[in-house]
Amino acid sequence: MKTWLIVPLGLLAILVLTLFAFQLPVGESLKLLFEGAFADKYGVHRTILKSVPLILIALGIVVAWRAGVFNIGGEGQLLVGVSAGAAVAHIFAGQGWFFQVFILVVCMLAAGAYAGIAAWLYAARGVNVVISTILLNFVAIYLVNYLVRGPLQEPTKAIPQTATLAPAAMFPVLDRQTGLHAGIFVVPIAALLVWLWIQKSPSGFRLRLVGQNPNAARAARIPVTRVSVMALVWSGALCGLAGGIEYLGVSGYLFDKFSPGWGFLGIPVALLGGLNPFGVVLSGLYFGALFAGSRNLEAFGSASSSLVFAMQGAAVLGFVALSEYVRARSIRGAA
Amino acid sequence: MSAVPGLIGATLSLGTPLVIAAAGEVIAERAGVIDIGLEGTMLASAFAGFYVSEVTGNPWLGILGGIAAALALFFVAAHLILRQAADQVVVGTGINLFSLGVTGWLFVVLVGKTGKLASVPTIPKTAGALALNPLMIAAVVFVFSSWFLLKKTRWGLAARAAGEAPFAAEAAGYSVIRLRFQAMLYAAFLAGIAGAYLSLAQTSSFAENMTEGRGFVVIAAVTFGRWTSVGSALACLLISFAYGVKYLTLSLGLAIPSQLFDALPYLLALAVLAAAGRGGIAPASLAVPYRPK
Amino acid sequence: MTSSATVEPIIAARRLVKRYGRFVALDGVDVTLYPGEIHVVLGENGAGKSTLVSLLSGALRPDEGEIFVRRESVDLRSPRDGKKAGIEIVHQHFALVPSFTVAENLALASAERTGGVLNVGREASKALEAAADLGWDLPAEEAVGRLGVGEQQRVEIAKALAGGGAAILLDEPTSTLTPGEVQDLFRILRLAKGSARAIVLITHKLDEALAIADRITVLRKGKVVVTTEAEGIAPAQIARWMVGQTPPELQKEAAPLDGEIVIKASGVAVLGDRGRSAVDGASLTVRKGEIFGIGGVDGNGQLELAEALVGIRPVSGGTLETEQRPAYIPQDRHRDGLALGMSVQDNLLVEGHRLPALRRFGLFLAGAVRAWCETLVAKFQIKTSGLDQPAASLSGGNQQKIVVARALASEPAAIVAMDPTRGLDVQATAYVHRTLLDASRQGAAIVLFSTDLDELAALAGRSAFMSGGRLREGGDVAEMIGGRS
Repeated sequence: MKTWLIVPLGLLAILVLTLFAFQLPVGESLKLLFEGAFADKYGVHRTILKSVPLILIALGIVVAWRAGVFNIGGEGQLLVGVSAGAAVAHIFAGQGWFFQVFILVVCMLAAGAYAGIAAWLYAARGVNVVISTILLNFVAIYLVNYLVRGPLQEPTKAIPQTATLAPAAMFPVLDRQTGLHAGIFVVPIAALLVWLWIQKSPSGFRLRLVGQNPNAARAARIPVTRVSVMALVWSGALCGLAGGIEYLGVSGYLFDKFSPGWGFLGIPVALLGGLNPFGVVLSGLYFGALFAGSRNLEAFGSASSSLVFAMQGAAVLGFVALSEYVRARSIRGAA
Repeated sequence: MSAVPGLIGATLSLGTPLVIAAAGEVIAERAGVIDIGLEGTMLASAFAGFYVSEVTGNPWLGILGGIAAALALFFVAAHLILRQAADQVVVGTGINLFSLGVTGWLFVVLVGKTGKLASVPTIPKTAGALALNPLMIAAVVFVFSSWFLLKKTRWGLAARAAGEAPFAAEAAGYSVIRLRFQAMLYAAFLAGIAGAYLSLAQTSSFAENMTEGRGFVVIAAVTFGRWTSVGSALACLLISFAYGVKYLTLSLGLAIPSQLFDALPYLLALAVLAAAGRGGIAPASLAVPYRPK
Repeated sequence: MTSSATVEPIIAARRLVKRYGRFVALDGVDVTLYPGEIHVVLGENGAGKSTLVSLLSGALRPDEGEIFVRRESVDLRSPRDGKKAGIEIVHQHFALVPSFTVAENLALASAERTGGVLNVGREASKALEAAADLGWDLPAEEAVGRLGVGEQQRVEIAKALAGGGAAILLDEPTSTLTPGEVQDLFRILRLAKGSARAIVLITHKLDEALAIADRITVLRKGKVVVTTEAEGIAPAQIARWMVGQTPPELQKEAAPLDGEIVIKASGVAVLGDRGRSAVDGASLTVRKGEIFGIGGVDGNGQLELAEALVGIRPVSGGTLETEQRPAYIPQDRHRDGLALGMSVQDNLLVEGHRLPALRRFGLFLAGAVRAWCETLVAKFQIKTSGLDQPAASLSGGNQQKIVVARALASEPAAIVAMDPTRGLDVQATAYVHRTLLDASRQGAAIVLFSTDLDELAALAGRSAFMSGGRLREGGDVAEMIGGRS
């Protein structure tokens, strides 16, 4: 079987199995899922909007993981990024594209700096990145919890959230009925830039080499630690970008559950996209479609909305097992 | 000063699952396996413990359920880590995400969205602010047994050799794979109890992602505890004290944002990791896949 | 040992064959060990000595052939089986846990498995007593990592003696010892053989073999050349058995003594990974067009010195001057050379990605990159189905060609090569040798680290040897081999 076929067929198999486990009628459900995600303008736009943060986070994961740096802290980096963005947005209270780019840059800087804490702990103190980034996730969650009840709370102090941005401060809306916004165009640009960087530039080549074999990179006089640190900081910045787009395009304010776990979902999206920037766009759209389509299944009961999370879990472990199998086979073949 | 028993009680109650899990993790790490999937294992066990207790009405069966869930994940992890010599961090991350997704889903499927109503039978505890429970005594026993296993048995000597110099263990006639398998099994067993504790003693219910990073906190504590059983247990209590301080400040009505105390255990864990640094004392072959010739 | 024919052998290996892919490491080897003898197995590097040790210890299983212990056929599936069968090994790289005390190491290996509960003192006592009988007072409570190499070896030997094995195999035991320690070791081995035990010494050092052996087996290219009583054999005869009659094919050129100095190290000290001194005051001068050989058994500071020379490991003392950073052919191509999961093209780019000609505006020029890689593939005759083929699926020889090709691609003024032909077949070895000689003819200054004396003899003008972190100037390699026999 062609390797590229394994992922879509595997995903379909897992989806069918999951539907089966949910005791849903498989054929009917697949049809409803598909309609909910693609049948009309509403479905398509919903799919796109749901996939935007997933793809951007996953791009961030790709950058770090390709360098062998297992960043699990996308959630925290996103939240810190948006917190900074929201704070600055209220201080400057501007509007227009210049303002929006400015806010996005702030989100990226703050998120990158937050990832930089883990990067510093790794480079200077040898702290495992998986552990430090996950711990920082929790710190960020409580930070947002505090900010939306404290310094950043909306003026009336009635609800735990920041003040809502003026419509002019947010991305131009492309479709009033669906809420599709101009921020979605950042996704293909980001994917292209990450692809050019990782696959087509000397700097990205060094990053991949460090991820594939740090010893060989060291023997080739590549500063392994510096490359890892840079990868982690950029990874954080992309997660911050994801938060900024969502903030300026969809919600317009920050609150406790601003991210429904995008930082974690981004990892399976990245893995299923083969850690390839364009693959990530496809797998992000797939998960976005599942989110969008599973709405249609609610007729079958409330459980169906957590379909995506169940699939996420099964898919990740399946992916790990599969890639280890392929790797082990290729190494055995070489020996 | 009435807050003091409450603080001690909270420290002990919140610290018990950490201490139990760390007693297992320290064994796994000394044998050369870092269980990044501990978080997911504990989460799965918390759910299994909760569900079994709800169905059977017996919290002790719930604990067994938690152990069973941990063992199920253990077999997957052991296969990938030991048989396929896969990267321990990648496998652990897979276990964590898998567990997060599946427990969230099962919770909704089996219990429904009205999870708040589901309050299940829990482990009995003493009345009063200290609120001691039998698993606290078990925790002490586990710390002792881990210490005894590592320091006072031939198996512990061999397991430590497997984590330091696998080649030497193998030359002495031991199977590194088998030693690591046994160490992981022991760690999974304790992780199962620790996870079930969260839903059966610390609370009486399950919530999505209810471990809230405790698995990672345990790994940090083992590092800070210099990979010793007693040191890791003390590090766990230090961190659970940070969890407990929150209750003290609440009862004293201090004007400090409560979120600071929520975040304190994680900040403390980060601080101890940074303080522990690289050091030369980590098991020399920790997280290094072993491939028999 | 003239009566050996009538005595029952302890161990008999019959027609052992071990292959690695197409490479045959052992090709029908027979070895018989009798009680009360010291049996030296001699051979150059690559003759199959280490493989023989691995088969007899149970670490590897033979593809063909049988091993008999006291006339019974045994199937050794692991070192545990080997120990059970009574075969103890003293490895070249000690099988000790550095962070454990001497007593803990002895207890770990002890056969006295007294139930589940550990009593380090009791379980180590037999080995400590065995050592004491030989006049060694081992520091039981000291961490092994803090002991000197000679003392660590004593712990290993004490382990083997206490194991009660009928046969003890020592793999290159003298490689890291001082002459005094070697004398002491030999004294102990003569004591230890007694009348019931067979001691096997694996070595490539002829003079040592003659000093201690009762019988000698010579291996060459995976085959037994001869097994004979040691008494009365002329050293020159043994040397011929070891090296064979084939004269070196390559014509190396006389080193130009007045060439420009490219690499100059004086009193260089380098620390190892664990912060201990690995290289201790190494001095060398390499001139344009010269191949400077550095021999010695693995693990004596060669890796650290090589890494210091190419600038990836800091120098902790002395001065090191190189005209430009030398190109590097690392010792272990799987560990330090290749990213096996990446393509042939990517692996060639490991050095080439820095070339300004291959990029514009910060991005690779796809056409230029492919052309550059294809040139290298053609020039270095790398057999591949295409530039996108993963490096993992290439043969060892072609993998090594990638490492060599990219090191030499930019015609460097200086090259540091470590065991560049390890594990390669005859043709690939000859190819790498030719390539290095060509590079030196074109003016490159080359430092060649090799554990293979033949390789040094064939390529290097001047040579030195490393032992215990020190570099000893050896002069001409031909002389050194001559002096050896």
